[in-house]
Amino acid sequence: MSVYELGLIAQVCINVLMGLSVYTVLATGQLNLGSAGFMAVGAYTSALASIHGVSIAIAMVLGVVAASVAGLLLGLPALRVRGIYLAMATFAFGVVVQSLCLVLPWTGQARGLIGIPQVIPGVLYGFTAVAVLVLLAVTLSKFWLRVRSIHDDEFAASMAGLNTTTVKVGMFTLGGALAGLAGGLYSHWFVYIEPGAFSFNVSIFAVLYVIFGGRRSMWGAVIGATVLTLLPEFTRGLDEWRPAFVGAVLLVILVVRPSGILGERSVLPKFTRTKKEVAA
Amino acid sequence: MSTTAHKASRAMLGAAALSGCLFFTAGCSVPEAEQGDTIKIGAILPVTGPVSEWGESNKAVLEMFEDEVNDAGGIEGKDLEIVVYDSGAKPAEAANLVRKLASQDNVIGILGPFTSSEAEVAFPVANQLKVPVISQASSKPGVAEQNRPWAFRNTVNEGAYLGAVVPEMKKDLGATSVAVAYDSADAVGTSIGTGIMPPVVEANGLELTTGTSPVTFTTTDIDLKAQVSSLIKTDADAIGLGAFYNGAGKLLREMSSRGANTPIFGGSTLVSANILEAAPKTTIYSSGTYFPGAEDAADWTAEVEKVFAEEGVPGSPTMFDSQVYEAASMYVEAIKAGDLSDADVEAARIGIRDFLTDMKDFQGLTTVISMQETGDVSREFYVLKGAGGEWSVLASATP
Repeated sequence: MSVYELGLIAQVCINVLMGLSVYTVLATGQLNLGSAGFMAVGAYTSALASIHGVSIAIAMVLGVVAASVAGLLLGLPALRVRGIYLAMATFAFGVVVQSLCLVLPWTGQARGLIGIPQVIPGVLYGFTAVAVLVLLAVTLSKFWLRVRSIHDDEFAASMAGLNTTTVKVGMFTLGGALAGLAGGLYSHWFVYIEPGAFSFNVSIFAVLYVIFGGRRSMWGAVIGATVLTLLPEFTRGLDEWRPAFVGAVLLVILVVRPSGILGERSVLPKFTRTKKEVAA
Repeated sequence: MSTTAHKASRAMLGAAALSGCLFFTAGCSVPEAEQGDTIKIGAILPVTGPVSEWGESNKAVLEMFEDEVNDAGGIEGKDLEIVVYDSGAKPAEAANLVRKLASQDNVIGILGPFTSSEAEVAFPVANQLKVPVISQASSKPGVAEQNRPWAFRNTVNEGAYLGAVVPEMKKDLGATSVAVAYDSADAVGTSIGTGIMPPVVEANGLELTTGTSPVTFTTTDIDLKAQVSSLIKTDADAIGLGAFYNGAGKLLREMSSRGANTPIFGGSTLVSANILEAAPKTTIYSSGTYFPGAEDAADWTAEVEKVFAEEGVPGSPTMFDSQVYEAASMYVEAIKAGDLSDADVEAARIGIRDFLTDMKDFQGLTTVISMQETGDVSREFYVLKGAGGEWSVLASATP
C-alpha cells in the first residue's frame, strides 16, 4: 500500500468520526451544525497538550474529554430549544469556537499552531477502530432503544417514563467526544492546525456524510464519509469539473434515494431485538 | 450463543482484523522507481477554490513551459511531463497530493503548493518522503525554514518586502504617521499586521496611530463601515494593510465610497491589477519580483499574454506566474547540471535538492536568484507604486 493510499485512509478515518459525531446526535432527532467546533476543541486541546510535552495518546484523550465537556455544555440547551432553533444554536457554537481560535493568543490565531508531534497511520487507524467499536457497542445496547424512541416520538418516550433530556445531553456529549477525537487525529496527522480548518463547511460535510449514507444506521455515516472522501480523489481526471461532478452525484443520490444509500432500513433491529421482542 | 451475538462478534472481529491489517501496512515506505521515458515534475495548484484565478493562470504558464521544453528537444532527449493536480487551496488536500505525486506518480520534484496554509501541512510530508518541493507563492515567514532540507520557496519573505516598501513610501509621501489594518482570518495577513509591520514602521521613525491594537477585518465581513471609520479617525498619512488584494480591495472600495483616499502600503499580497481598479484614486505602495510592465521580462510577458488569450485565461500574468515558471526552470536546470535524466527517482530527487540548496546566481525572469539557508530565495525585487491604474517601479531592493 502506498503512502498516498495510507494518507487517504487516514482522511477517511477522520471524516468517518465526524460523520458518526453528527449521527449520534441525529439519532435523537437533533441536528448538530457545529461539529467543526467540537473538532476544533479536540484539535487545539490535543495539539497544545502535546506541544507542551504530554504524550500523543494522553493529549488525544484530553482532547476527547475537552470536546465531551463542550458537548455536555452545549447539550444542556436541549432542555429549552429543539428543531431548527437547536440547529442554529449549534451553528452559533461552531462560529464562536472558530472566532475564538482567531483571537485567543495561545491558539496561534490565524497563523495557526506548528510543531505538533505526528502520529503514524496505524495509531490513527487504531483510535478510529476503537471509537467505531465503542459506538457499535452503544448501538447494540438496550440504551440505544431509548435513543431511537426519542427520535421516533419524544413525547411518547417521555410519557413512558424516559428521561429524554438526559439521553439527549448524553448523545451530545458522545457526539462531542467523537468530533474531538477527529480533531485530535487531524492535528497529529497534519501537524499544523489553523482556524480555517474548522470552518462551517466541515460541519456541513459531516451532516452530508450521514444524509448521503443513510441516517438510520451508524454504517450510513461510515459509508457516506468514505464515499464522499474518496469520490473526489478517484475523479481527479475531471480536473476543474470535479467539484461539479461530485455535486451532481450528491444531487442525484439525494433525489433518487432521499434517505441515503442505506435508505430507511435500520440494521439495528436485526442486532438488538430478541425474538420475543420482535414477536411482541 | 445467539445469532445476534454472533453477528455482533463477527462485525467486531472484522473491524479489528481490518484495523490490524492497516496497522501493519502503515509503515510501508516509498518503493524505488526508475524515471522511464519522461521526466515527471508534479504541480499542486489551486485551480478551484478561493484563489482559483491564480491557480488557473499558473496552470496555463506551466503548460506553456512544458511545450517550450519539449519543442526544444526535451531534457537530454527525454520529454518533460508536468503532472498538475488541483488542491482547491485546501491544506489537507495539498498534503495528500504530495503523497500521491511522490509515491504514485514518482515525480522527481513538486511545484507548489500555493498558499502558506497548504505549505504548512504539505512541506512536512515532502520532508518525510524526501521529495523536493518549491512553493511559488507562500510568503509567511519561516515556513520553508521549519522544513529543511527538502522544502524551498521561490518567494521573498514578507519581512524583506516591507523592510524596503516602508522607507520608500515614507520618502515618496513625506509621511510621519501610519495606521495598520489586517485580515485577521488570513495567516499571512495576520503575520504582516501583527508581527512584521509594527516593528518595521517604528524602525523607520513613523508614528503608529493604531498603537498596539491594529484594525482587524476579514474577507467574509459584509459591512466594513466600522473598520473604515476607525481608520479614518486615526488621521494617519498612510495605512499599512496586511491582506490579500481581494480582502484589501473590499476595504478600499468602502474607503473610496466615504471619500477617503489615504495611500495604502503593504507586501507582495497587494500586487494585483484588481486592487488598482477597486480604488483608482488611491495610491498603493507594494513590492514584488515581477509585474506585467517589467522591462526585463517583456518578451516573456508577451508570450504568456498570447497563451492566456488562446486559452481564455483573463488578465495579465502575475508575480506568482513568473515565480512558478522560474521554479520549473530551476528543476530543469538541476536535471541538466546533475545529469539526472537517467538516474532513478530517489537519486534524481537528492540531486535536485542539492542543486537547489547550493543554488547561486540562477538567472530568473527579472533578476538572478540564490538560495538561502532558510530555503527561501534571495533576489532583487521591485518596490512598486500603483497609481492611475498602473504599477510603476519606485525602487529596487535586495533582502
